[in-house]
Amino acid sequence: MADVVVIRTVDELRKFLNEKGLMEIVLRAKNQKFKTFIKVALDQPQESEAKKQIKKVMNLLNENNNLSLKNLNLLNNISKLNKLNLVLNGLNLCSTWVGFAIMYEKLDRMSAQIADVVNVYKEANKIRIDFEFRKILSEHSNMLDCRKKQNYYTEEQMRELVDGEYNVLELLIDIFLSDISNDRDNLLFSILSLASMLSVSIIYFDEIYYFQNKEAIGDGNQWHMAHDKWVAIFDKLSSSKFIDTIQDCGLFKMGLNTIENDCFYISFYDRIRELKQDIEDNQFMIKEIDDKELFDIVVKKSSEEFQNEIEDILEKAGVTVGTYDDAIRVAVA
Amino acid sequence: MSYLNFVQTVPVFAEKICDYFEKVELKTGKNFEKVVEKYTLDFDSIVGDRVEKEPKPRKGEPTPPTPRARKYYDRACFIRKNNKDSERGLLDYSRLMFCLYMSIINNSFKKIEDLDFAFKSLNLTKMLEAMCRETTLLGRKSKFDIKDPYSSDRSTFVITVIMFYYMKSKEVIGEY
Repeated sequence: MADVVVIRTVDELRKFLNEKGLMEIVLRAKNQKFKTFIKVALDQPQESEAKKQIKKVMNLLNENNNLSLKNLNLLNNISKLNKLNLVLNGLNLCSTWVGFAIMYEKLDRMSAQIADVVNVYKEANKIRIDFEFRKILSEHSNMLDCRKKQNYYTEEQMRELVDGEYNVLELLIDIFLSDISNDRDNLLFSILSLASMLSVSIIYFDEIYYFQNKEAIGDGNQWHMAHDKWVAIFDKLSSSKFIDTIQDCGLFKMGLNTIENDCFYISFYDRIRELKQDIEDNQFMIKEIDDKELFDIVVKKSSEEFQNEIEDILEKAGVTVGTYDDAIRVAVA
Repeated sequence: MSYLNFVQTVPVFAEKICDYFEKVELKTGKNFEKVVEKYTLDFDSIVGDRVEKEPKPRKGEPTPPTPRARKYYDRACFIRKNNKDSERGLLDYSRLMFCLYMSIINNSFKKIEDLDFAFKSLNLTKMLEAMCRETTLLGRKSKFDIKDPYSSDRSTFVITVIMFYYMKSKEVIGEY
């Protein structure tokens, strides 16, 4: 007879699972003959191949973004945060047309609910300015589509987009802090997505503004007058007041335990700081290079390098690029 | 410490802790579950009265918001009543109480309305020192008898240290 194995936690049982993720238990009758076979599945649902690949790829990709693997794994385990993971995982999906198509689909689906909450808030606070969430989504998407076709937005078009995203984000932050919406995780997802969109838009706007105006401005402030105001919104999102509200939301509305909640608000905070850092790094790079043509080459080169790096990682993980796109789509479905 | 030393040390240390609680049981007649229950009650007794109560609504005026610290304290009480026996329940209860107690310490032991929930805000030494200074009978008597290492009061301190380092082992790494 085999040795007795002492089991203390459910996890220790996992080594007995077969290739289908099931464990078979045999019960003996009194005469030592087999009485029943029981198939046992542990509480964690079986992951589809696609989902497994996403986890693998996301983990590998995040090694490049200096995001703690421990945090990421924990986030992946919190099923309630699956959707938020999309914007917390360090890949800025709002910066490319392909990535944003995924975000757009998700955000567009919830835009009617967001519009309702915005209207209630605007009425209660007598705000008359018309900010449209859906319009901003479509404008951001259009801007990325134009970039894809190398038909870039003008300085004025970009400024209007940045201003629009900033205003809607400001409004959503106020609504989140005022605690009037019950749909807090959707609201938070929209806030985080808009913050990612705004970061990308500011980066693109800075490039246009600097190279078009640097001769005229000379030694003065090389950035737009509203730049500091726009960027300050990332400080608002990472302020202790906002983080306190996220902690409350995780604990009381989303029912997270204390460790999950730590992971939730810390990842949120880190992501927001990264978005701000991206803008500052881009400003530094623009000023250091100080030449439009050279800057375009560097950007093109680094995006090519990043693409190659991603492909290398995917190859190492045994995932083809097509599978990766499919996998991402499964994740957001 | 080398990995081999670590592998050898953990079970030896665990055994020492088991021995400790066995001695506490022999000395006090309270089993481990009772000792844990006393730990939760002790924290309740040093935190509960220092958390601002829910304000009473005035006639014709809207209900004032519940202080944030009170919401967290109520959650801790809920866990104590319903879920404290599970490992996760005890961890969550301890984290909430530690954060509340730390905020009380930082507020010079006056009533608190808010709290700092970040794990980084916790300072074990400050908490243990503050617990040593807790008194009863209008300040005439120490609340905890910590001279006897096997008293149930002292075991509250031991569980506090264990729970703190258990939390530390699960600390989420980040900037906040």
